[in-house]
Amino acid sequence: MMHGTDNNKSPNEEQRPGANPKAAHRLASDSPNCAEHQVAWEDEIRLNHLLHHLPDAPLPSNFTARVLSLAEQEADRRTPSALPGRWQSFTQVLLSMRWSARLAILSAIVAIGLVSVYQYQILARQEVARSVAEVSSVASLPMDVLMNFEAIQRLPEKSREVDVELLAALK
Amino acid sequence: MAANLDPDAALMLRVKQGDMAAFEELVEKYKQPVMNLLFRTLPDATEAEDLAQHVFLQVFKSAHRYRVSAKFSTWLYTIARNLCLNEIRRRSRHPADSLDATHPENEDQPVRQYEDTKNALPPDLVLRDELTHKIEEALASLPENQRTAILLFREDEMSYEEIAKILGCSLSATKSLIHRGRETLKLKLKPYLRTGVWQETKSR
Repeated sequence: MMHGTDNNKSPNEEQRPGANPKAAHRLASDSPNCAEHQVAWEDEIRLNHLLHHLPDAPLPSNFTARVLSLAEQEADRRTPSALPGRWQSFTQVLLSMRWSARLAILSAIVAIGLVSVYQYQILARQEVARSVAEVSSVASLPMDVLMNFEAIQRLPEKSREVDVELLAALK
Repeated sequence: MAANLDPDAALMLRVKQGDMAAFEELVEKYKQPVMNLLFRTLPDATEAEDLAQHVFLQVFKSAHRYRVSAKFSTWLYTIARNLCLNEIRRRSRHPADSLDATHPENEDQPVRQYEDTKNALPPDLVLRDELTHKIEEALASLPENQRTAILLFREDEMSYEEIAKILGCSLSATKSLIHRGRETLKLKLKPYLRTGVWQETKSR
């Protein structure tokens, strides 16, 4: 019932029942004796007309603007700032300078870094030397002093300071 | 399918590159067809509008994965239908919003009708037109897949193959869905089809 018998129909007409009213009318007029087919085709045409003339759903005028706003928010969310604010402004200032100024600033930064590393190494060596000196002074003590070392170690910090004085006196 | 065969796919490739103007063009072109589909599937106009926004947002989010393997409209309507089905499932999990509930007076009828929707609209809109009301009712009474197939079929350039892709079923099953849907509509609208009242409806 959906598909007619007209061999001259285009493939599109063949696929979409009643999509082309002219073709349907032609089909109906070609077979006037077939009243049932004619009525069926007329129903198809009218149904198509009804469906095509259904009113559009209500849509607010700012729909596109709202969608674009959501999309922009999504784009901002997915593209985090590559650099923190202060670092970004620093790099912007740096990039705005001449190349010689940029080179001088970068050299100063590198020099400060190297000096800091050197100072840290000196401090670390001094700490090691102090530890070795303390251990060597303890090693020179007589064995009877070291017999109570564990008990002395367990004493509170304040008491230990007194004991250090005592050890010095014993020397 | 080459991008130059489908201008919308070409626009979508521009969206993929971050072109917001291309995205705006696509939204402008498809907002009404997408809204028409969602509005006739969900019972509430506001929900349909929110979902339509979500459809386009999903298109934007998925732009980086977009491949020109089919027409853009096929891809768009597939997203719209999937989101719509998700919404229907979500609502069906909440008894208060159940779409499966039967009509209090007629158990054969679903509770989902368009009266409520129409009450939310301005009074001078199409719902005052009795014929339009009857068509909307007849469409609402169809199973979801038949209704979606019919509504997509209504789109001028939508072929059976494209509708089959959107619905995720075979070509023959799609033809069958459309045929059965149309037969149901013709049966329900028979008095209106035969009297020719349709000629008095307003043209869009």
